[in-house]
Amino acid sequence: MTTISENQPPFEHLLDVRDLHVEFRMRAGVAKAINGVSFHLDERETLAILGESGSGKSVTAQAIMGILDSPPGYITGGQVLFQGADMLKMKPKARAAMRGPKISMIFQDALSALNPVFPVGWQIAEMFRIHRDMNRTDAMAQAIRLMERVRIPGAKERYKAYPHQFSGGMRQRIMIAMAIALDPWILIADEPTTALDVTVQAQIMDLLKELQEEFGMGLILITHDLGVVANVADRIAVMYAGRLMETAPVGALYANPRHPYTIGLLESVPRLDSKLGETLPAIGGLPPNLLRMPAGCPFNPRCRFAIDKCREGVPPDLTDLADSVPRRAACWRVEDPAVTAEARIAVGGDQS
Amino acid sequence: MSEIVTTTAAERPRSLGADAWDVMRRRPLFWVAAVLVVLFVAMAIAPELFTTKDPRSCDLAFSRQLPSAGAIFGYDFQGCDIFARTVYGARASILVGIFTALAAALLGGLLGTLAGYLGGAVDAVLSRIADIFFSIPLLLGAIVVGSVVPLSPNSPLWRCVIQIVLVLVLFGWPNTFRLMRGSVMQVKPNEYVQAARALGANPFRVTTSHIVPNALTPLIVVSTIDLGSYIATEATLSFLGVGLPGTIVSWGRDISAASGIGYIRNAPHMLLFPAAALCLTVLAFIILGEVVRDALDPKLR
Repeated sequence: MTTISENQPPFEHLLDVRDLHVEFRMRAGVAKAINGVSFHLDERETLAILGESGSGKSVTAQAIMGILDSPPGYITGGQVLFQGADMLKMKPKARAAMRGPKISMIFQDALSALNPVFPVGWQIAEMFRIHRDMNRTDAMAQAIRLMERVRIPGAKERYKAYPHQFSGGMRQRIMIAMAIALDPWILIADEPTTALDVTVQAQIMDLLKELQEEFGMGLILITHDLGVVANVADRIAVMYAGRLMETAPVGALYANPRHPYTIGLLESVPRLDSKLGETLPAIGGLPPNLLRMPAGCPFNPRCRFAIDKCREGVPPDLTDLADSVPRRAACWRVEDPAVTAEARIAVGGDQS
Repeated sequence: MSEIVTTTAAERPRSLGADAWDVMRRRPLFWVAAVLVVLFVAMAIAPELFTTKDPRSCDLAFSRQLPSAGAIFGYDFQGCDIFARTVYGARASILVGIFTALAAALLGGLLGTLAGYLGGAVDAVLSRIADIFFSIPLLLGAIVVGSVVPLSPNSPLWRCVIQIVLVLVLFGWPNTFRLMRGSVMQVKPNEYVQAARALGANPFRVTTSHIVPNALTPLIVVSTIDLGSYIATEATLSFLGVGLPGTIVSWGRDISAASGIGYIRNAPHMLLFPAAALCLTVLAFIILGEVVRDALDPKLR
């Protein structure tokens, strides 16, 4: 459709999130959900944000989109630069105008993300009618084209079908069609395949990848599934307790995780070559309560490498690592030989 | 590779409304209620179709005569034809019922949506106001207003209907308000509402095309059921003499006139027919409301 590149720098990245802070003010206290998250996204790039439930992945996405429910959620600091302009400083109206044509989003469960009382075609066509002032007939024709593009069989006949009449995968396709309707520059996919079974997951990821190449979108893929990320992402940002623990190109991260949390995550992936009856390693303990963060590094209570320095003072910042590729990690002991040795064991020890 | 399409050609995409209609038309109760409602609404619109007699031209010579071939419902105390009075009485009752239900649904629905969607101070203020009116029983409030601002016997029908509708809405709206507020609050956190925002819908759009259509069902059902009770309340007010004035033919007035001492024993037909008409109308709307509720609620199928 449209080509993306008429808007060239002054800006450095398409999306640049700097030191984002989000907190939830509740009766029980203030939960610091995001504590200084920084990352960037370029055109045609796929960034995966990986983390377990409650790590702040979805809240990050909501903060970028500007759909954080407030109260209780408040963005207390940082910048979200879209093509160099800080979206957090924009008026709500200008912000709302960006949702759809500039940044768009798809959700985990397409059944609950689609309005149950309207036909799916109508819902897609609505995007064109609101944002492009199209008349009914044109919007309908566009919607059907889009439904065909995301490979809904019999798109024309199914224009008038309701969300509950589709299978999970088809619903997610509808959701994708709505999200890309206005050629967004950035698409945020919040766990797009979590509610789907494995074969359909692969189809949806393929479709997303294909559409990303066609439209030249930047894609932020939020997931807790290490398998989904591996084939699709260019870079990975690992998130824990509202902080980024490690960012790296996908190959480097899988081959050689550096942060103890990432090491733990990769160790806990079931492997074909593990012996029968062998216990799958898991990271002990639970993610910290956001209302009562531990002092020091938030991962320290679960970290087998933790030293006194990790248990006090301020948590370590993301720092550049010495490697052949640009990568960063937030750990005091990341360059410590004891940790780096474990990292190799974690991925199979074939390199040592 | 391709996913299995769940819908076959025979199973056409259908709307909630079409589904509900399908469920309803298989219920005999729906048809009973629908026929009664149509009948009474037709009476209200064109009573001339049902009787050639004038409910106001009476002859004292016929006073309290029992039903006969000439007057199938008999005559009342004044010697008026009861069948004609019952037919003509439908107009006031149905007008009051329909307009009160509509106005209460609109007002309560609108304020309830505002309170439920905006929350915070708006919700607090509106809810407290609703609580105040809710604490006054509908009938008691209407009696007080009706006796403070009595309707003059010379007022035309529309003037009387408007006043009674206003009074009933004034004390009836908290009901629909609370319902809609709760319903909107229930729909609001749904993911499709968030998705609509993420895809660029403004708050007005989010409310009108995503929240309200999904929150409307309970309001429709309760309004239909309430319609019946508003008709009954109007009859009660007229019976008590604080509703429609005697110059307007209404069931409440006729029931009141028929309940004088000795009448119930000597001329039960005077009470029976207007009361039966009232009961049937109220019953028809309540049944209709229940059938609609069952049809719209997938959990009850």
